Amino acid sequence: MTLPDDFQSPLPLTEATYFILLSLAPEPKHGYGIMKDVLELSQGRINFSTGTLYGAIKRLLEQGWIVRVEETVSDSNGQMKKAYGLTEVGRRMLRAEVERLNTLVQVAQLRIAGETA
Amino acid sequence: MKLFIRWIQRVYARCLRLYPVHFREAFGEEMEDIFRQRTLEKLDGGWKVLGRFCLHEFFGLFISLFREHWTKKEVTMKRLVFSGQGSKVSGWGALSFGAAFILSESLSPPGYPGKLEAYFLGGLLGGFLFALMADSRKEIKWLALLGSLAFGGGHAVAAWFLNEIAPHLSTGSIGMLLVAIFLEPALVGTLIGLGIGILEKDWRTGIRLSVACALGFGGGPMVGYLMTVPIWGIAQAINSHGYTFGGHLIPWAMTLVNASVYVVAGMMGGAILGKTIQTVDTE
Repeated sequence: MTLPDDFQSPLPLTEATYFILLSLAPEPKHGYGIMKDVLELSQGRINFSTGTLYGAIKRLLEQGWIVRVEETVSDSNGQMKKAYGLTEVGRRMLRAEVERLNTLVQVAQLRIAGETA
Repeated sequence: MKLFIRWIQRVYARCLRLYPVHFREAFGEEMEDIFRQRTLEKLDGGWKVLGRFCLHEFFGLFISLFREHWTKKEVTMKRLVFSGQGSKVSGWGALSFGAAFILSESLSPPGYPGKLEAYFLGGLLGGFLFALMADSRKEIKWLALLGSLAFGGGHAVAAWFLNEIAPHLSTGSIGMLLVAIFLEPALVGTLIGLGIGILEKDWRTGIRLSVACALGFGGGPMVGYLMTVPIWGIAQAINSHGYTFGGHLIPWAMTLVNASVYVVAGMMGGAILGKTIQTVDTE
């Protein structure tokens, strides 16, 4: 599938951005939730510091890929925190990146299969 | 350990104040909450775990701080002129125009007309530095050119006036000295103000800036002399009391006087420029 022109220039996404968007895909999360989820999704490779995370959040907000949700979500201590959710643009950006990665993997698998044959 | 954690949480909260205001207001509270929560989670891990965590957090904080301040600086000349960033222009003016004045004066023999090319070169440096600090990369060549023309042109006009016109005026030696100190930087400031107005295609702003810069840059050397002549006076006094190192101090004091005069000119010129820009922007 050919990617729409407006989605080609921001790709490839950085790993940090990719995992933040992936973390928000199923449901909105607050900052700490994103941090813990990204650590798990990346199997420990991406361990955000608070400063780095919120720098990334700020840029994603400016780009319109995520948005602050009006309802706040409760954390494990019962305190209400601000949450972030994916926008439609952010969701399409994530899908475009996943498709790009899939294409890369397919090309690699074909090449490797060809070499071992 | 709990005491340390409370202390480090306070330190982190203080460090958050180093972020740009808009960032702090948007995310400061959340960041503080998260840091607080995470430090409490590290209580069971011992000093090693806590230490590693704190290093990681503060390292990330300072990297992020630098990034947020750096991206905030990326403004074009147009946004600089009309965005209320006037107070920052003061510091940039001090450094860039001060450097320009010092370079020009260093390369040129004292008196008028001196070496005009030294002033064109000094102005080029000043404009270039100013554009770099304002991160106005698109306008860098225009600002460098403006600086060059302002410095070279200002010095040339001042030289003509002082050599051809002033001797025929009955101003006396004090009057001549005041004209010499005030005239050239005032002319430089006027040309800079007019030039910015031309670059921005806004003649009203240009006129206001030229008047403001004339006063700012022109008044600078006078303030500079007032601030630093006492240092020269102290050196003279030391020398006259028979302390031999006073003789070595005098040339250094004179150098300091001359250099600081122009740095102050740049600072005052930049400050007035910035204040005028702020005023224009808020109207």
